[in-house]
Amino acid sequence: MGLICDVQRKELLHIPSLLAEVLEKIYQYSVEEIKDVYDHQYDKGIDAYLAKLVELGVGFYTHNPEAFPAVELSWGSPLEVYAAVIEVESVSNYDVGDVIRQLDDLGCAGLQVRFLEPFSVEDICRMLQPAKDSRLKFIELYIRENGELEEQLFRIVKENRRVTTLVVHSAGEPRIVFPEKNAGSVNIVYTGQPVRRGQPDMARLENFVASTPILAEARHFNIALNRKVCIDAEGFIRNYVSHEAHFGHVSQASIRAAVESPAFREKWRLHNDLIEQCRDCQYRYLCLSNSDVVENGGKYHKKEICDFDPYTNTWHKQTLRDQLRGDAQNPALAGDKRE
Amino acid sequence: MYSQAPKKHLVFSTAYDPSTDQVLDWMAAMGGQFIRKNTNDQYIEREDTVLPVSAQAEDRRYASIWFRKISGLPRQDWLSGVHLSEAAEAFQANLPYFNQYVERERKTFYDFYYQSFQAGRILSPYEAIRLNKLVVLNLAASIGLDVPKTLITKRRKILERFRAECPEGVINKSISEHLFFDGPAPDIKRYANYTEEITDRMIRTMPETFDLSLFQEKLDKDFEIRTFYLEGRCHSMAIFSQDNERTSLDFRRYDKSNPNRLANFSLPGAHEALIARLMGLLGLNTGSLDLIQTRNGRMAFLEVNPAGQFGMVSVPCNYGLEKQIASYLINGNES
Ligand code: SF4
Repeated sequence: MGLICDVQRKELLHIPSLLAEVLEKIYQYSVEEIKDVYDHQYDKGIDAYLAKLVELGVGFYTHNPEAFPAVELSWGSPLEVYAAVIEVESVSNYDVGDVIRQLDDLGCAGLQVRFLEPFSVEDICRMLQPAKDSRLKFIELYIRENGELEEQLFRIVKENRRVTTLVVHSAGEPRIVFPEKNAGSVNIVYTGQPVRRGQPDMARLENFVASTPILAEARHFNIALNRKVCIDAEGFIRNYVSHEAHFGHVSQASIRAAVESPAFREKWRLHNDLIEQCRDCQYRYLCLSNSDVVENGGKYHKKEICDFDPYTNTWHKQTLRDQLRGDAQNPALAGDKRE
Repeated sequence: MYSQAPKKHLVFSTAYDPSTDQVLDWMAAMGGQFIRKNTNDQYIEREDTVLPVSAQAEDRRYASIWFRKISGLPRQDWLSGVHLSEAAEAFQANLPYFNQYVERERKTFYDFYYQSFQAGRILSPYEAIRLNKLVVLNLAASIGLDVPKTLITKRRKILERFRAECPEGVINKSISEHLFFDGPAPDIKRYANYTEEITDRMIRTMPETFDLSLFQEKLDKDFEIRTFYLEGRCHSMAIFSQDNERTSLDFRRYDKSNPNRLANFSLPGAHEALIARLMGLLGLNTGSLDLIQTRNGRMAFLEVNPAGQFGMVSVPCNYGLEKQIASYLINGNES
């Protein structure tokens, strides 16, 4: 299948592969020339599809194609680190405040903190204190249900204006609590789902967002890992919390040294066009699977098994991976194999 | 006496402007040191200025200055809270006049304040930012840009005659800047005077005379063009608005929203040269320009906005203007 990413409506339009092939030629050839290329076998089909695209508002006819150059998909970022995910557990043996200060020094824009165990609002505010005057632009918090009242939780948002998302996990019935008038725009989202150690963000169609910067970045970098750094529950620096390789313990090694090391950056560069299976997938420039990428006989593969099969164009609901993960989350069966 | 070439860069903006944040991120990545002054902060109000301020004054010299955004003066009743004695009644009776006076006082100070900073590179010099729209239209027409027929009049008769010369109709817009204001709490609706078509019916019901108003021929628009100009180069985008027949068709299956359609656009070389010439004459090295492509092949120039939003062109077209601006401010050339 092919895909048209409508970056303005944030919609994906699934199209047959043949149409995708035709559209790739459209910046070079006129409609008549394209028909020629296919020996006029598909004239009617080409006309009908192009008319449909015009009708859908994703294309138009012009006699002046030179005036409408294609978007040039180069990409760059001034930030050495764009986003960080850190896991915090009661047994954590690292200083969250120090991590935030190091991320600030790197110009990090976004931070996701996953509190795996219950913490008091008091403790959370104390840990986030260094974020207040930092360059961080948005903070997402995943807090484990602790029986604290909503007004207490809203205190976190009030004290830290950079908090844009507040999720209470392992919280029974899902619900959303809206702030009172003039108390900001951040809701508290309660979810029954737990957030566990090393939880991966899997490829999921509903998570794919088409935007020009993302499409451009995806041509050159792995968009789920690029400019990202993670600290796992035990304080090890990793590309992502579920990855096997670590780059030292954050109390001994600096985050800057880790993200500047070639092995760390290698994972940023391995984008989907270089990875088996993904290279044939229509979602390869949108996919947020942050699976580790492993090399095998000169070929790259994603380590996590993906729910999508581009060759049959099907999503698998209950996959082998889910079962494996279920086992892995049961320490009695699997233990924590990462070290 | 000059000691050393200044190293720091000065940026005037407003708080919460993501485009400024991005340019500053690039400047930091390029090793630039900068000072950001948010002109909607009270911060600037607290600065005392002792005259004369010489060009050598170290604290006024920078490697570059970027006038990204200068917020207007706050609208307020300057007399409220002021202790008045016997002249109170006279002041009260002339309140609007008094407020105008205080605003003039402040404006005169700020015009000096912004111009008192010196730098080798300024995007764009403060004196050039204050444009007179009519001067710009006149200048544009005089160098050969296609400018819509424009009339300024107080009389209906003249307008009627003008209407007869404009086959597509006539529009009305502000001679200066648009007006906007907020309604009362709690719903705080925003009011603004947009560009509006003046129908023949409206003309018929107009009084013989009215206050000075600007009328322009309506154009048979194919699409709009927004061009961000930076140091001799044009970065353009076509905007197909939703009332355009091309895009306002059947959205039953695919109809979440119907935004204006944007496309990377490249102006004909002759137009780019004319734009560069116009900007040069206006003393601007950056700005945002509005043009219209008509169905019968005209490319008409509408206006220059010296502090135009470049983010709305840069992001969809992937032009990387944030980096180019940073690079100009730091190195004096585009990346
Ligand atoms: S095949 Fe690869 S690119 Fe496609 S959805 Fe799966 S992980 Fe993502």
